Parts: sequence; structure tokens; C-alpha cells
Amino acid sequence: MGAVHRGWARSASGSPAEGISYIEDGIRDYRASDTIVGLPYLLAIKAEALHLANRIPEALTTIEEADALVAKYDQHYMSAELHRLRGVFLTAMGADETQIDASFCEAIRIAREQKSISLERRAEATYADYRKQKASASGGRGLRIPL
Amino acid sequence: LRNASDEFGGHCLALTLLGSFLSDAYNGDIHCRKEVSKRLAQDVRQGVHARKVMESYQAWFGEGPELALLRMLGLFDRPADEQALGALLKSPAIHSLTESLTDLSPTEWRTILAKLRRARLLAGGDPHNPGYLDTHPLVREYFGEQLRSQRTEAWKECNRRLYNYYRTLAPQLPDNFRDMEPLFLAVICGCNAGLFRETLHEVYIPRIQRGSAYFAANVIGARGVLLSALVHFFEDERLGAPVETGAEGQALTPEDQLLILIQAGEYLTATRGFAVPEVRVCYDRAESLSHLLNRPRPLYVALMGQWRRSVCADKLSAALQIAQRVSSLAQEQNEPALMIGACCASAVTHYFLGNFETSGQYAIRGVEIWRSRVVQSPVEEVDEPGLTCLAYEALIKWHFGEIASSHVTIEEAISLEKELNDLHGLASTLHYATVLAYWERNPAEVERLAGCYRTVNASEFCAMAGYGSRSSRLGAQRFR
Repeated sequence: MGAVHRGWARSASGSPAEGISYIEDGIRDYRASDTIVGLPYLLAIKAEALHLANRIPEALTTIEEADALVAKYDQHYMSAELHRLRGVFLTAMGADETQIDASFCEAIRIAREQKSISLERRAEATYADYRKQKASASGGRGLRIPL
Repeated sequence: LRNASDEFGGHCLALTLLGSFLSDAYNGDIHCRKEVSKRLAQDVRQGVHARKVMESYQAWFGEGPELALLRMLGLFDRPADEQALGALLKSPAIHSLTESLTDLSPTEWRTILAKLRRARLLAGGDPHNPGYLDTHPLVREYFGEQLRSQRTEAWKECNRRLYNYYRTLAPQLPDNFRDMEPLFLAVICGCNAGLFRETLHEVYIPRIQRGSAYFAANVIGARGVLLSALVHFFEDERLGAPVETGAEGQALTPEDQLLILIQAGEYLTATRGFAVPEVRVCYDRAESLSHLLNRPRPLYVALMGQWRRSVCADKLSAALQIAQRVSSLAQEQNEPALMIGACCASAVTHYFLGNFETSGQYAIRGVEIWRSRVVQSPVEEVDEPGLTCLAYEALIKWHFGEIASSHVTIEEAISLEKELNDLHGLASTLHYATVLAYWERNPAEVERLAGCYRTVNASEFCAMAGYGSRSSRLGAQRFR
């Protein structure tokens, strides 16, 4: 997991290409250990890095892969965050507003249900950013909201 | 010569041996290589060319001291020292192996060595290691396998003699890896000789592990080497199926089998990860034996092993069921160490299920019991579960919005792991600290911590492989 974390740090510090390379190597090694439990978390990190590299469709596909693992293995610890990220990526792609709203609302609902105050605040803050930017932008398509 | 090189696939050892063989047998006539090459198979990677030349040499030498010495060298996986060879050459001679080598004069011995060296079947003398005899690994493998499969009784007798040699070579209780190494070799040779019980009860348990101190694992940190030794207690070296037969009175009892299964499971987990399939095989078998023998502590270790594997690789509902079985067992036994482990299993499983509140309750409970404990754990753990609980308490505090407090808690967990000098546990806790830094979106801290646990992992790898030492985890343990 060290490579994935390092990759995220590089990516978040402005070197997304280098970061993605680290992250992909790390995830490949992690999968080779037959371990599933951390994968939704690692895939969320990868999706973030792809988003920062402006590879939004791939970021969304990565989130879907993480979602499938959550459903298959009951690993709901990342559910709220995955919904929040999905909302961010859908926003960047200029997706349908109802889809975006549904993603953020689901992130907030799950975080609340799981009693994760930090994830709830984060999801609310991102949703607020989205609504603020949407209100000030014409048409609201392709908005970039901070992760 | 070019044709010969092509025919032998450019295989270095094969060509070296071919050259010396043609020189010895055919006055160096390169055309006579066909006597050897016409029988060659094609697979260079398997060393077939070299084996065919060795086969030719074997026929040329005929049964005698040269072949006997080569077969003896096949017993070793490294240069053989003269004293170990001396143990094999002692009277009485080993039937169908050393008859032609006993009672040789120094001149006769040197003549044999010279003949094998000229044939390039034996390496030249090493001035830095005088008294050691070395050869190419393929030569060792070829003649060693011949001894094992075709002269099994001689092979067993050799291993019995080497077992006695190595176990007397080491200090009674070695306190570092170098001094302990002969004991690991003694375990391998003892098992090869079929002396499973004696090896386990006279070498492995009392001298390598020092009973429940798990000295080689916890103090020397040689878990990888321990695993390499332990596999010899299993049928065909397949983890999961302990040997059930042996020399007379040497078969492993169910108690013995339980011990090696539990330890193999622990060291396999520590060296190859939680999710490898053999881990499950070891712990499943250990669970059955624990029930059979009515042994709650090994049962706890087996269940924890199953849980660790399950939480990593299965649907979490399956892991939760195992965690609940650990809880029931701990309550039934009313033993603090088992209760801490049970809290740890529940805290971790509920965390990944997204039940953060329940996870936090278990984590806090585990830490409370751990802090109030006054005696050390009677069972060997991969990581200290009390500190895993502390790390999860930190993660849960973050979720609950108690950010400053989560920092204090994770720092305490790191500091305690350092005190324990438990590299595996420290790497895990640094990982949790990195997760927290990620949640806080702090790239600089993530980068710093990721670097730290890479370093710790590398140190741990060295320790596991037996190339480092660490001070006593048990000795440094603090109970508050």
C-alpha cells in the first residue's frame, strides 16, 4: 500500500502522471497478494488521481469497480466516500443534475447512517461547493469542484 | 567448437563439463562430443545438457570414491565443510555410499579431489574458506537426487549423522542468527532422517524457540527461516499436512502436529501475507486438532488465523461469524489475552463493514483490557491485538470528528510499537497513520509516513530472512 499512498501524495502535489504510475503498481502488487479488503480504498485513491489527471471517464469506471467490490464483499467503509467522488466526477463530466444530486445525497445519507461525522461534513461541503458553482456558472456543465 | 557450443545451447556448465570430459575420455577430440550430444534432450533451462554430461562422467568413473563424494556433496545446499564431511566418513561406513571413502590416506583423498577438479565437477579450493568443498548447484542437485531416490537408506543415514553433527555444533541456546544457523540445518537433516519427534522436542522447541518464548521468531526475527525449517515437518513439504509417519517412535503426535500447524500458520502469515491459501489449510487443520485435543489456546490462535485470512479475502459476513466465534471462546475461557484478540477481530470487521460506532466500542474495550493486563499473552500473535485496537480507535475518532484526539491516539500506538520493537506491528500502525493522513488530505504527511513504513517493511523483511536481529519483543513489552 506504500506505493499507492506515495502515488496519491505525488498526484495531489501536482504530479498526477507519476502518481498514477505508483498507484497502479501498488494496486497490482496488492491484488497479487489475494487481498480484497483494502481494494475499495485503493481504487478510490486511484480514481482521485485519474480525476486530477483529467481522465474523468476512467476515474468513474474505477469508482464503479470499487462499488462492485463493496457490494460483493460487504465492504461499506468506503461507501460514502465513493458516492461523494462519483458526484465530483459526474459534475466534471457535466452529467445529469439528478444523478449528481443523488450521488451527493447518498454520500451524506450513508455517512450519517454510519455515524461518520467527518465523512458527512466532507460530503456536505463538496455538495455545497457543487451547488455554489452551479449557481454561479451558466449551464453548470463540466464544473471542477475540489476533492 | 562453435557447433558444439550450439548443440549444448551455450550452457556454461554443460560446455565446461563437456570440455573436461572429452579431454579425460577421448583425448580432447571434439568430434567425440556426439557420444554425449546424441542423447541430449532439448530443454536447456532444466539443465539437461549438463545432466547428460554428468551421466557420461558417471559411466566413465564407474561406481567408486568419486561418485560417492559427489553424492555426499549433494546433501548440502552450500559449500560443505570438511568436518561435516568427516561426520559422514566416520566408521562404520554408510552402506552403498562411503565404503570406498573410509580409511583413505590423505594422498588418496587429495587424488580423488584432484580428479574431480580436473573434471570441473568440483570447484577449485577457495583460499578464503580452506577446508570447504564446493560444486555447481546442478551437480549437487543431480548427484544429491540420485542419493535420495536410489539409495534412500544411505541418504537417511547421512542426514542422521549430519543432524547429530549440526546439533552439537551450535551452542545450547544460541542468541543470534549466526550461532543458531546449525540448529536450523539440524532440523532439516533430522526430518530428512525421519527423526521428527526428536528433532521437534530436542532442537526446535527447546533450543530454537525456547518453548513459549518463541525466541527465534520474536527475538531474532527469523520467521522466514523458521518457516523454511518447519516445512520439513510436513508431508512432501506441503504446508497443512504434517507428517504422520517416521522412524520408530518418531511419528508426530496430534499435539506436535497442532504446534507446527499453528507456528507455520503464523510465520506464513507474517512472511507471505494474510490471504495466502496455505494459511487457511494450516488453520483449518489446527482448528480440528484443537477441538480433538480440547485445547482452547491453540483453538483461539487457529480461529484468529482464520479470521485474519477471511477479513482479507472473503465476504465480511463470513469474517464476522469467525470474529463472533473468537468472542464466544474468549468469554468461555475468561482470559484477557483472548478477549483483546476477540475485541480486535470485531473492531476491525465492523470497521470494514462500515459500522463505525460498533467498531469503536470494540476497539475501546480491547484497549481497556490491554492497558489493565498484568501478565504477558500466553499465545503468539502476528501483531499485538491491543495495539491494533488502539490504531482502530484512532481511525474511529477521526470518523467521529475528534481529529486532534485521533492524532494523539495514533502517535501513542506508533510509540508503543516502537517500544515493543515489533517491526510487523509498527509497519501496520504506520499504515493506519498514513490512512489518517490521507483522510485529512495531507500529501506531505502521507509521503513521509509511506516512506517510513516502506523502510520498516524492508527492515522486517531482513529480520524475517534472518539477516537482522531485534531486541526482545516480550522483554520490551509494557503493561500498564
